[in-house]
Amino acid sequence: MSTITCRQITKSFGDTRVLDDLDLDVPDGAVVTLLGESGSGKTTLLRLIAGFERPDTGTIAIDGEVVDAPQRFVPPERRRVGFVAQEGNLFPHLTVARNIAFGLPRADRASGRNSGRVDEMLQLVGLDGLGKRYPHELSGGQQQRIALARALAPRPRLVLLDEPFSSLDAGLRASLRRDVMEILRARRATTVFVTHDQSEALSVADLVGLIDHGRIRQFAAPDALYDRPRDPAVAQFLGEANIMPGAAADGDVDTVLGRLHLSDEDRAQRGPVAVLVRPEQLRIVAEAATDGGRTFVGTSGTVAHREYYGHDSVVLVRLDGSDVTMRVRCPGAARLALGDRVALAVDGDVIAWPAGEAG
Amino acid sequence: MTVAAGRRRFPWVLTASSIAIVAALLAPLVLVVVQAAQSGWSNVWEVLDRSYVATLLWNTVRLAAVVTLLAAIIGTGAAWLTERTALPGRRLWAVLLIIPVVIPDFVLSWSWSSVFDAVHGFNGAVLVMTLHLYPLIYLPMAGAFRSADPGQEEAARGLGLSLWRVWWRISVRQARATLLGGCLLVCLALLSYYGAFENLRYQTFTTAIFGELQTQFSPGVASSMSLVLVAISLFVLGGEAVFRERGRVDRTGPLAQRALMPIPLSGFRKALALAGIVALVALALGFPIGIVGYWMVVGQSSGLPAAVSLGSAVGYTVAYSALAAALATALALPVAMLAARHRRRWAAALERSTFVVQAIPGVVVGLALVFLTSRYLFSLYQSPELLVAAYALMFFPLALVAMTASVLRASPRLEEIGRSLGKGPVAVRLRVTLPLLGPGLAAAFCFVFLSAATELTATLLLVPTGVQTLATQFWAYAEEGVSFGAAAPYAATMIALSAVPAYLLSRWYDHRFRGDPSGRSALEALT
Repeated sequence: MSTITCRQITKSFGDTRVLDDLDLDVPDGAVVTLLGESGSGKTTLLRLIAGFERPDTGTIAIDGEVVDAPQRFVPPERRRVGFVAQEGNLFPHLTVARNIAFGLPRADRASGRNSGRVDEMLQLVGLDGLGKRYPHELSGGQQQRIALARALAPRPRLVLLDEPFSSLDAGLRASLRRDVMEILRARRATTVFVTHDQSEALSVADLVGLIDHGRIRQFAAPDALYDRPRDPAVAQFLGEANIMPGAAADGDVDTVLGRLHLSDEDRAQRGPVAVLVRPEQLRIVAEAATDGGRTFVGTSGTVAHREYYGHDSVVLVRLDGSDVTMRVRCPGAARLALGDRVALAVDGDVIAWPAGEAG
Repeated sequence: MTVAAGRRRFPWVLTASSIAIVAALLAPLVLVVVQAAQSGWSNVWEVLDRSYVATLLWNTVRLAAVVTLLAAIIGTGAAWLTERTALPGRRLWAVLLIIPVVIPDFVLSWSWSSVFDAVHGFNGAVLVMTLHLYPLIYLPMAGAFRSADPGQEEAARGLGLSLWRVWWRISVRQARATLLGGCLLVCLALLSYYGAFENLRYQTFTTAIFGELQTQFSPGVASSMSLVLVAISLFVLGGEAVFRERGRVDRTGPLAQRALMPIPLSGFRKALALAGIVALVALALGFPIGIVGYWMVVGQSSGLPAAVSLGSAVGYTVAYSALAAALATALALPVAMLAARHRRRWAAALERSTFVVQAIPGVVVGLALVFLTSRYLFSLYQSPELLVAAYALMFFPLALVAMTASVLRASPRLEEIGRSLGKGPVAVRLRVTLPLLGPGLAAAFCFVFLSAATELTATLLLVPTGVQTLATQFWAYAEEGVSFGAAAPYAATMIALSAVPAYLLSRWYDHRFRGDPSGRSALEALT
């Protein structure tokens, strides 16, 4: 469908700089999530793309057409951008059918309750037959479905979702997210999705933009972002991370967990580094012993804390001779008691950044 | 492509018009001060130094003290019975208990004094005012009991407290700020009434001010006494605002909570409670309506001309009230929009300052506008325009309260969504903003209309020569004290205009716009 190009966007509210010289390129048909904590500027960026606010400086182009620049502004009604907000923001005085029909041309609306487009949209979001209801007669999840149907009805060039599921409870949230994403992917709609939930951001996106203090810290595919975060701060924001100092030489790195193998991209590193070991890379073994291949056996320690999650559990191991603790993810219930003696093995390569780059 | 659109601008137009409106609303205060100053500060001092003012002050204070106490007991007790106990017919009682406060005070007092000569002076005023004003306590207390956290009462009962002690130590204590706020509303109403006290031959500031103006024709003295009255009213209003804030803080806990279990009443207690509520409704509502009906029937024989002048009075009343309602609604809209859409401290302060109008009694508004027009704008003196403006000014806060919920509902977020769906700013205003504002605007109009239609004090001072409204014509007959039968149709019409539509409107709004509490909040403001 469409591309979005943002260049050097700056936006302040009063003395607070919300967006700071931000660049963003959304490719055609991609689902992009913008992940950030509240106040990071992600919602503001979405509102600028929709045309609800104007940036202080910078340009925004949709499909190569400049929609916002110092001397040019295309108002929201001419951008063909569908917007779904956190609370749905359905028009409370209109029925569901008339909400969906709101953005359709007058001729369509006049000709006998919208000639099928409304029904088509209701069917699309799985709520056929609810056209005569008023928004307050719908559940939260139904309201969000209708908000999506309303946004899609006028065939927008792109769809912007501003934390659309965050006011729903966990179970409903996951299933609605799956349905909505299926709909958007089936239509190959260019989508920008703002969220503060990292698992949500990783699970739905083609590309994730990690936004922090008004800038995009890293913009990459979800697996690339998780596996190759550009600095320790990004690593910690996306999932759990054990980050420890190390000394790199000849493709290996010496850490409290012993000598670990650097990933191919990091083999050239020399000297003091910060090393990332994800909890799922760690494995509890009965005793310290060296085995072959790419598994390294490090220090032994004691179990300091356990968190059981059903499908897996996380064990905190305090390493001997230091007060460093490691988070270890174990499948199922770890049959360990507090104070048990264990040893840790590391699976796979690790990544490292030159020391001092910590964020 | 407009470059400016979409840029967040300072709301100049809204701000400027709001400031102008607030200034106009507060003009009567300024005018009274100017008038007093023109008569000379030494004269003012002389007036205030008289023992007469001390008597008025004493009359006001003792009446306020006794009526507030009685109203607090009756209102709180009735609220607890209808909200928290398994009293038979609670829904019906809850409605009937509110209505007495909506009936004009001078109609109520007349219904008593027209049959019982003994109902006058201090005791008469206490009786009539208590039966008229207890709903001002009942209504907020019922709300407080409804939204109270049941867990706390359960915990208290679990700790071995009796039902009675739970009521006193938990329910009432929790709602203390609400109760005090309600008490101050009672005081505010007592300070502003004129007709009822004239009727009951009880001297207060309003009757004294009115007397100075109408019979003594000494506006300087009247304005001097108005200064005292307004000062007291402002003090009371300030206190009420403080307690309203605290009453809000008292309500903690989640919004959606489990329903309270009504407390079962045993046979004897049930009979006692029911008898109390029935007696209260009979005295406060049944009696005045019955008396009006009685005089309607008896008055048929007195042969006074009624039908023609009643028709003309209704005509003038409807015309003035409708114009005033339209004006007040139009004036309240920018102030409400500014406060709702530009949530800055000064915008909220501007909105809140308009509630000061509540502390300006009708007699003072009348006095100030008579002074203004007789001195500086004689062409407007006793003109219909002036009366309409006075109504709009007095009932501005009512219009504001009635539309607040709708203005908040017509959020700029919805306008943005409308724009992103391809509709221009004008289309969005017409199809989103206006329909959402509609219920609030209509509520504001209706409630100002109903209030203006039964206003007496300012009307007596400002009504155009040769014109009679429902209130003034009723008053003319009632004051003579003999032609009860002639006054009765006017009383009946005013009761029909005040009590019935107020109830129906609030119910209709509840039903039609379930998400929009304009109707209910306006009913609460009206009372």
